[in-house]
Amino acid sequence: MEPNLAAMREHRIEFTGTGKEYFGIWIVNILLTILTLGVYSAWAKVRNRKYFYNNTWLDGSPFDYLASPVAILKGWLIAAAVFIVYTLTADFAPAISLIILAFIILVTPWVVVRAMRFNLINTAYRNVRFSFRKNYQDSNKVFLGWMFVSMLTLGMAFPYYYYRQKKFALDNASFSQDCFSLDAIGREFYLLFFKALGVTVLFFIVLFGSFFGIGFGVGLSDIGSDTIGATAGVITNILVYLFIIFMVAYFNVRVNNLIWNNVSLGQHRFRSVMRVWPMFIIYFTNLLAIVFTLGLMIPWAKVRTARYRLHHTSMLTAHNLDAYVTERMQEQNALGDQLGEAFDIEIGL
Amino acid sequence: MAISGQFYDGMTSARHAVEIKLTESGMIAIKGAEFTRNYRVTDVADAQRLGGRVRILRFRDNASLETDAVEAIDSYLDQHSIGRTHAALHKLERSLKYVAMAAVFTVAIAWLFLTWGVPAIAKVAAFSLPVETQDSLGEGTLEVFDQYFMEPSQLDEARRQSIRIRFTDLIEGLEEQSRYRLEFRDSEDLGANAFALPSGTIVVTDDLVELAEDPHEIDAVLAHEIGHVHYRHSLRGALQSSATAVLLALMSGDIASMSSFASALPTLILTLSYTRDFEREADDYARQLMQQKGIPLHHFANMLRRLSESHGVDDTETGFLDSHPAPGERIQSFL
Repeated sequence: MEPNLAAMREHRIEFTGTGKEYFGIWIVNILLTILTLGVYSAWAKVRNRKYFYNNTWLDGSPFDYLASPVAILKGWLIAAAVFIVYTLTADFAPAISLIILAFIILVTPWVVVRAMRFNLINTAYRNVRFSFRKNYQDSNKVFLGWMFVSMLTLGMAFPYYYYRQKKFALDNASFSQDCFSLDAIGREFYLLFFKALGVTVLFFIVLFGSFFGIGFGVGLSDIGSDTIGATAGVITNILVYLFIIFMVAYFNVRVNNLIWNNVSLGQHRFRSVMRVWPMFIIYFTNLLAIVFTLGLMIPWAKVRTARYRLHHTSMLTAHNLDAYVTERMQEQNALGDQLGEAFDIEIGL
Repeated sequence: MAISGQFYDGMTSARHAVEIKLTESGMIAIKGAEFTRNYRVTDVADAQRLGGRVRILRFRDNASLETDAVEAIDSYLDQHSIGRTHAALHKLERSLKYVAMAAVFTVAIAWLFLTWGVPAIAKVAAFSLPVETQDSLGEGTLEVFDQYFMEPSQLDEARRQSIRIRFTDLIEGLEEQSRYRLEFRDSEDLGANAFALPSGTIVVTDDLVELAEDPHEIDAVLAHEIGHVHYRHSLRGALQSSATAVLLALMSGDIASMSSFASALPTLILTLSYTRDFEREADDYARQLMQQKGIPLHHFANMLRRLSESHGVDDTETGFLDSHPAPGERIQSFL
């Protein structure tokens, strides 16, 4: 049943974090992590995330993050142990390290489910926790099946694999009795990847075209030795860097919009209206600020990026959000969560 | 004292606007439109303090209370000694003085560790790695260089042979003497240059051989490169820059891809400063070796002067970003 969009109420998401406030949390996190030789990092992670969640408001209520740092630390230690055993055996007993590697690949679907579940179970809105179904069958299909297809087709199937990842993450997520669902189809992801590829090819054609244009103008032999050649080289470098930033902004914004404009939660819908150029400006100025303060502006950069993203996302509600009922709470372990993080599987809502 | 807030019973997402009374004796009385709930302050299971916008108290029965009366809640919990650790953390995080101290302290620790700790660890690691591992590291590098910017040497065989003999004399009696190998290459990109690979292979370009006006000057360059091999500089350099990159990423937290891109710059600066230390160490080694073999030191100074001229470097200029110490300073140390 297609919900009637006109009858829905739009709630813009608000973000109230500030760079100044977050700087204090961030720097104390780093200091305590150093002083405790890394042990505090689990507490740091919770405080970081809780700060961002507590400052994200939907319809007058903030989100909350409830993970236990000890659970995260345990998972982190297990992940670190697996990694150390793997690196050690890689030198001394390659056969064993291959078995460990195969084991890591095979447990990936399980780890992904655990990681997503841990994050969602520990995310609450109005004191009701989100949830994530333990759908290992689909997880195997996506994170083993489609991953191998993507590799075997030399990336031709990658956009579809990427789409299945996102779909898996959303279709198994729920808030109380309502399930999330991603209605976008693989074709739209292909279109997005092709556009990105097209823009990239066009950029390099124009770049090299103009570069050789200059080259012929001053005589090819001068390039590289002569100042005009050197200047052209510097300009080319700058343009390529700017282009990389642009493409990151382009991809993040378009994927985000595509996903959130096609997500439903029960009868509710979402809207994402981020734009590429403002995001590019944000990324670019973030980069300059971070580089010139040797990292001290990272908190400011994170806060303003989050603010832009969240302020351009809204929820279209079909009915008020009061009627969600808490499910039975299950004990969670953080193992999957931290394995997910140690091997950098970026997942999230 | 009465404040207002929102109450959630932990069963449903219904939001109840409530009045909250905090009593001296440790009672939290919550009064909604259709209900009242009384908690003791000891029923508070979680009361993390983050930022100044909102406080969420979570009770043992999973109900929660949310209010923007941040100061009232904080001082009430302080009075009853609830959540002391979080209170202390919060105090650290929002005090300008402590945050500034934390920033200075963090930067100082990071700087000390990166300038002293990382090189020391890399040194131990490089010297405990078996020689065979290092040999295998060098082979790939030479192949790549050969493919992209080096050609076979154009020097005549007699000339090469005479340099080889000098090289053999130079390494005569050194530890791990069998590791050292000399290769000649022609390269337009590198110009007059020489470099050492972890395996002990030392590569000299044709331009460098042409540039030298006295055979002892080539000895000086070879002695410097032998120093790099002796101290395992290329392996240490590789270990140090990867360790630095990982550490910076860890320290700055779960930063997005754009900012890890940005941490490349500090890594680069540190790497260049590590390289400068290596150059000094190799110079010192060359000085000792030349003295031992009875080669006058001024040949090193002369060669260095010629090299910096051929690369168009002003010998007084030294930059933060230079990979070698200022040539003038290096030349001085050999005079």
